[in-house]
Amino acid sequence: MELFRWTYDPWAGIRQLRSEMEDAFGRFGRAFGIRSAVPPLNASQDDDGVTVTAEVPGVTASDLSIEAKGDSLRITVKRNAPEGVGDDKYHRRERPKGEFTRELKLPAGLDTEKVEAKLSDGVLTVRLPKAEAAKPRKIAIKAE
Amino acid sequence: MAENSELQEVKATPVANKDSGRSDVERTRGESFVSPAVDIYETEGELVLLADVPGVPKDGVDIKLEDGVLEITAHRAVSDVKPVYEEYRPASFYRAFNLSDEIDAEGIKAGLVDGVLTLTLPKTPKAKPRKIEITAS
Repeated sequence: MELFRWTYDPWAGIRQLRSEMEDAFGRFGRAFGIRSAVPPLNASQDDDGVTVTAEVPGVTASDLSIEAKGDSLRITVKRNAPEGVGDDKYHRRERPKGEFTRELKLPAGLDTEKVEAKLSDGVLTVRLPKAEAAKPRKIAIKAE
Repeated sequence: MAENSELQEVKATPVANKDSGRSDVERTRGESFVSPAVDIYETEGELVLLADVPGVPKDGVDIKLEDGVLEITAHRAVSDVKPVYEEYRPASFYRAFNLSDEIDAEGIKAGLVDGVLTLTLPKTPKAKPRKIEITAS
């Protein structure tokens, strides 16, 4: 086990990849709310762990599959098209349909056994708590 | 794609910092808007519009019909949490359409389930296909 942990930003890699992709699509796509990846993901961090949210409108729990293993989180969503509507009946077709998978590399120190997920109003929230060993421990100073 | 669209897009560009006129919505920053992705399809009796508006609660939707323009505004709660990785901004949604007079404005119905807004717009009787009987003479 390392004695020293370099402080680094575990999200830097995927951000770099994202910004390269966005340059290809340009600001135009973003202003329209066009997502270059499905489902789009946001991640936030606090002292107790990581929270990942995904926009998955129109799905129920059975259309989703979430896997947390080692250092990655995998989210698969199945977006269903309206039933029984022929292709020729559409005036506009912008909503994604089909099966999509996203994989996120997670920072070290998370307890993947204790992952919790909830779905509300088309937003999936996945909570990955920090492993106990990774939490900062207060060290008492003994007087000599 | 049908040439004669009953629903014609108005203001294709998103309106930034639009004053939505709601005094009961508390905002610490200006509300920003994006255009939601929509599917629009036609059945024999109606036009159906589905809009992706994730994160919008039941009471967050405003549908306004004025001068033949259908305006859809869906307000999203602003979160204080600053993301460390961000692919989407949780913005509110806005989109507007011109309604042709083939739509019966009185009969428009709306529903919100799992972040998807569904609007059914019935066609006026004259717009529906009519079967013409051939009578023996």
